[in-house]
Amino acid sequence: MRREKVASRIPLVIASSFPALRMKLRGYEDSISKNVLGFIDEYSPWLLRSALNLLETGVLSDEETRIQRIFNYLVTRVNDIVEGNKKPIRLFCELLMETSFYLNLISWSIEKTKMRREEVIVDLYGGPGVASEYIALRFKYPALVFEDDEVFLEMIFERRLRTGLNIIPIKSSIEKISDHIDRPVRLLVFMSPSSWKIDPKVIVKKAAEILEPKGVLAGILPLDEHPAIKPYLTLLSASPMPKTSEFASLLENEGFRGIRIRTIDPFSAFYSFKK
Amino acid sequence: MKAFRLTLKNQGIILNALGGRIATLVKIEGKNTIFEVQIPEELEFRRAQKWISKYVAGIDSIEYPLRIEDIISSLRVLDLLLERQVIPYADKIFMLIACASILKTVPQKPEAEIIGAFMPRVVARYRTDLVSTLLSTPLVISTLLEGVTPNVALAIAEAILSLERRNAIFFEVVT
Repeated sequence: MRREKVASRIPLVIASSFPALRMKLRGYEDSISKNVLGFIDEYSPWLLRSALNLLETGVLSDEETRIQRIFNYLVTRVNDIVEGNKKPIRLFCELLMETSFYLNLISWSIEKTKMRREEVIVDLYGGPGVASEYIALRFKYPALVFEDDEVFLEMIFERRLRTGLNIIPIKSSIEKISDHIDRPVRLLVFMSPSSWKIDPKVIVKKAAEILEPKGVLAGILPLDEHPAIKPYLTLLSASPMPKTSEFASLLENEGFRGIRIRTIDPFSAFYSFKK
Repeated sequence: MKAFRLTLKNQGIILNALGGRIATLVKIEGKNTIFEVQIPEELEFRRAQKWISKYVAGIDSIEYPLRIEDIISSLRVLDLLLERQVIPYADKIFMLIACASILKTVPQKPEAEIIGAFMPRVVARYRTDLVSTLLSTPLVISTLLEGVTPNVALAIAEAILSLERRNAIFFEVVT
């Protein structure tokens, strides 16, 4: 009874090309009304996962509710963002990066990194500093966080005061970051949505220049511009995001190997090693 | 601070507490402000100089008439901070405390709601009751700073700035 009630409320779109998820739905088919259940190719596994969870539990998980609310918040501020108000984007970045979903991606992308003495971590366009805090805490090494936004720098400094970690906010554009680095860089990351405003090609080229041999480049990007978040990307990024395959060849062309990309819609985390 | 003289030209205020033999004097001049401070010998000169510059930058940016009590509160906070590492946004802290009686914090939806629901870790560092109050009620800042120690005043100012940075509150001048 409860299943039927819940299922009838869901605007569920299920892809015929997604057999594993369809298997999971077996047993619920009767309870999903026909006008709700459509088999089309344009689907969102991300929303589908939420819908499946909703079917099984009757409620969205805390994490899914949280992510949806964070994106909904961005929508409510579209006009302000278009008019040039950056405050909503800053809050969006911080809230999104503090979800366990995002932190898991950060954790996965740095798991193969081994720091050595005298080395530093570089966080390019670190945004509110969530990833820098996570990484500095994990490795206990200094993290240089580069940002060109004054308020993001304040947010990073706030984090430094709160945690006592060696997070060093530096105001610089990507072209001039080499002037501020005087130690070998083992790990260079760009995890924050604030880094999406820079063309990934520019970042990868810079990383190839700065990283020491066998250094790790890691990041999180909305590769393939998943339909679920495509409308938001126009607010956050300056150029279209590359496809996963294009991004992998870009890394190879710049001398990176051991490329691993993990996609959990709507984001892709990756890491690779400099030759 | 051992002694100081603060001249606010546009406010027509001179607070003079300089006297006796002057050993180490830092003098910073802004557009409308002159601040001369005698600092204890044990304090690192450059650091003190940076803090005093931040103070002058903060006070200099104020265009509204100030209350002496608020200026003294801001000086007490400066005195507390002189030994610490310089905070890049310290000018905003001093400005906020010096303007405590003329500035009101006003919560802003939907940011106040979403922050209240998923408190970012940085904001969670501040007193929960203070953050909840700021997110729900308009408040003149001086009501929060009445009779508190410089340490508490600093924590309150940082909490307010933290919420303002995230667009959860905005400032309104009390008329």
